[in-house]
Amino acid sequence: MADERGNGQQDWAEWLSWLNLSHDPLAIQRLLEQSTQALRQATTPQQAAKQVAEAMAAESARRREQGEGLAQALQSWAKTLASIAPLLPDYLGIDANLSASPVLGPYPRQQALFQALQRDSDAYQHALAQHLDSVTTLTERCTEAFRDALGADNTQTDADALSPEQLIERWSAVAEPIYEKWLDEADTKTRLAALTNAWSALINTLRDLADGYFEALGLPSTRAMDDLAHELQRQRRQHRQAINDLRAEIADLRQQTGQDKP
Amino acid sequence: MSSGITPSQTVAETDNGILWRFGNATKPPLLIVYSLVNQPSILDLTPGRSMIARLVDGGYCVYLLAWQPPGYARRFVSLSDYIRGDICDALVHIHHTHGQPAHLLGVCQGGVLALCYAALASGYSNTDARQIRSLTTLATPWDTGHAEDQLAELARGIDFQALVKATGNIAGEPLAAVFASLKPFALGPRRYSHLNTVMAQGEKAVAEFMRMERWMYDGPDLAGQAFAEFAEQIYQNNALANGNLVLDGTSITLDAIHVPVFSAYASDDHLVPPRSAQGLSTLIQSDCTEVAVAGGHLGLFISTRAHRELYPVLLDWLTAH
Repeated sequence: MADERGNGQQDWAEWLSWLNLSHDPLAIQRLLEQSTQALRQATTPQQAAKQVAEAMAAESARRREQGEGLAQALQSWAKTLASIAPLLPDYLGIDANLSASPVLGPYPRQQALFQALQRDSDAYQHALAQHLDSVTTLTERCTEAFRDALGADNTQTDADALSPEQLIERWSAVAEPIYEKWLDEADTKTRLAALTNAWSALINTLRDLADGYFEALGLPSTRAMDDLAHELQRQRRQHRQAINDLRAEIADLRQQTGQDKP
Repeated sequence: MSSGITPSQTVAETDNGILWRFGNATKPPLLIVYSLVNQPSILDLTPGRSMIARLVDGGYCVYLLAWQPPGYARRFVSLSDYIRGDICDALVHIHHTHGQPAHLLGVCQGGVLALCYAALASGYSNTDARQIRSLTTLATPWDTGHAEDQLAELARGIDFQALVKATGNIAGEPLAAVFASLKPFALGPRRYSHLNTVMAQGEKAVAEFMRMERWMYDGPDLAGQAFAEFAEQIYQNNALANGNLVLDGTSITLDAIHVPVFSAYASDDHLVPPRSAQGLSTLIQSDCTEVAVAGGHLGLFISTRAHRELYPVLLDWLTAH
């Protein structure tokens, strides 16, 4: 047990040794030391070159191993956080990937917005890619049909080549029904709606973030302008209601007095 | 002065609009409520194809409620504000000027606003200055719950509250692009490939082409709240047809309308397909006349056919009511 604990501490110390390289993050100094050592042991130029190359490869492998270790550790940590996330009060109930990690520490709202930004940005890019794929397929379908239509018209000779106006008319006649059929497809409408909704979500998250910065600087934010617009609207409606009540009263009075002209 | 070709003057301002008058104030009044989406210049675009000039020549003092684009401070202006505020204020002004209620005519989305107003006006006494004499709707999408209505179908899956939260108001330019995207070939390569022919016809033809061009892509911004309400209630819930439209807590049902109704629609309209505009007589209890005109959406206002077939019928109907 003592050995195990001792070995474990040694492993951790070794694993954490990369932290000691904070003064030499790219390991250049270490590489120079190893190269110098290799050159000292060499007796021929060929041997020197070979030993320096081996020293560089060894250092490169060591760095890669440390990087992988760090990535593994971070992934384990993220998985642990994700698994305890549902137990925490601010759990958002979102998908069980890394973005579902609970918000910990200060500025939880800001952190949540950054999580949302990543999620919304991914969703928008996905929706945009799907839409562009669909538009690309549509364009290919139209150009293929146009090519076929031109190819099928073998009565044309060089002498009576189509004018630009005729080409435009031919292109429109071929492509328009294909486009309209595409626009009519339920999948197209679903993709367009998804793209619009993803864009709205992304802009709203960006706005929330920007509003936070504006307000921190004491500048007017969208939220503040919305508040003002709401207040104006409330007063506008009160005013209108009062006028309409007066009109109704005047109409009643006219009716009661038999005066049917305004 | 309006930007059209018929002489006009500004006679009043409402909270969100300007009231223009065309014609003689001694004639019976008729108030046009245009859509919030485009500029009303399409109704008075060229001599011989001006709906406003036609109504003036037909013996009416025409008023046009021209909506003013909202700034950010008006992003929460709602449909109810336009209907119970601006339309009501314009009608009261007209009533005070003429001493009689006006005929109300709603164009496209303005027709929906006019239908809602007419339903509300059923609660007003005959002596009330807010009362109307008749209702006319042109290309009005009041029943959008079917697959032929492309705009409604596109709107089904969109979260409009999130959209207007993100944008505040809805900008006119992207909205015009959405409308153009329904017919990109007709409005793009086909339309512009005829530009040489238009230029060959002379300056007048070019000026008309450019006026139409400006009209198509110069749509005003829309108040976010009103836009979201319209998209949700009219396109997603088909609330007018289903009888469950509620504005500011007030239920609005078409069967409440008690004034005579004239409804016209275009048989090849891709923005307001016939099925979205026809059949008002099935819900409205009062006298209801429906007329279909061959052609597209804009043709209902500017086509020679509409000026030959529709407007004489409408003028006769107005005179009879």
